[in-house]
Amino acid sequence: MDIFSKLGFDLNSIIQYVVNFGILFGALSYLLYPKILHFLDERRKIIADNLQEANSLKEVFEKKLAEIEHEKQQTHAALKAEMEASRNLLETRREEMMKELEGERSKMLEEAQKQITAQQNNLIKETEEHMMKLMKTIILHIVRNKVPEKTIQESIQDSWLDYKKTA
Amino acid sequence: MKDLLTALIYDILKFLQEEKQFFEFNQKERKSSLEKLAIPEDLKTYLVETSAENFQNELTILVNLLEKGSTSFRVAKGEIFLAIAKFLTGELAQHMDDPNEKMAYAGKFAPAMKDFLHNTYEEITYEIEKMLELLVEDNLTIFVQTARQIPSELKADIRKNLLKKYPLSFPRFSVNKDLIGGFRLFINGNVTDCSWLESINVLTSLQYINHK
Repeated sequence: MDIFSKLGFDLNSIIQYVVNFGILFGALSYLLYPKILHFLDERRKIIADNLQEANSLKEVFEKKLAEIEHEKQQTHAALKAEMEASRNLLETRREEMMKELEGERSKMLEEAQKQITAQQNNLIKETEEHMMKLMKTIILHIVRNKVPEKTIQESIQDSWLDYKKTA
Repeated sequence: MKDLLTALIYDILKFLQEEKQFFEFNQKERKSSLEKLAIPEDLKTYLVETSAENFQNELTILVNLLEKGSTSFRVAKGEIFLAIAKFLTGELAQHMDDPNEKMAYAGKFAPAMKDFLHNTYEEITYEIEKMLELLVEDNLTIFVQTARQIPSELKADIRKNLLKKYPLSFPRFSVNKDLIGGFRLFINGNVTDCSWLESINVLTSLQYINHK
């Protein structure tokens, strides 16, 4: 006991404190703790409900999100397919147009070539005809004016002899 | 032409009046008897070969023809017409081509022939062609175009040759200086061109050049 005294502890005080504490504890346990516990339980329940609700909401959201994501993916895929189809159509149209243009171009080139050839031929023909006319004029001038009368007379005789041989 | 043939008939009839027994002769006797008659050889040959009855019939047709022209019939058929056609396309054409050739005719026929040949070349040709239309069936139209006037020998040669090929044809000659040289022959519209102009046309044609 002395030791406690030496150390500064008073047993009575301690007992007093313990009793006081016990009383306080008992009072609190009887009056406050149940309410606090009830409140805590209520609170816990609310929190648990909230948590559950939050979880269910989360699940709903997640589900919704997944649906949206799925829809998004579907839409994306559809859009992509549509874009691909459009792209293909565009490409086909482009190829068709290119082919058409190429055909038109070839046709025009062919036509132009034909016209050029025809014009060349015409030009050649005209030149040849002109030359022939010129040649004829020169020959006619020579034979009409420069051939002696005797030769012309003989030509009739010669032609007749030739005709007699062949006829 | 009418006068010419009338004179011919007159001479023949006069001869037959003198030679009453002519158609009773044989051909040899007839030939020797006909030496007195100076008419075309083709008619003499006809008289040698024909009979009195045939001659009488054909003479009637010929007189009708001379009187009525082409209205009585289209083409005359008979030996006498053939002989006349031969004379027109042969001896007469020859005298027409060469007026200087001596004629061995006498009687009424000689002056008639001279008168006939005094007509222009075109008139004579027209008369002969008109008569040939009556005498020859499917009469051919033959034109000979030459670059210059040709000598009568050449004309005769051409005529003789064409007559051989186309009997009883009467080639008509004309000058076309545009031919330059040579000649052109038209037979019923078909042309045989042996002229220089044709040769020049052929030589200067593009087909000829291209063909070469």
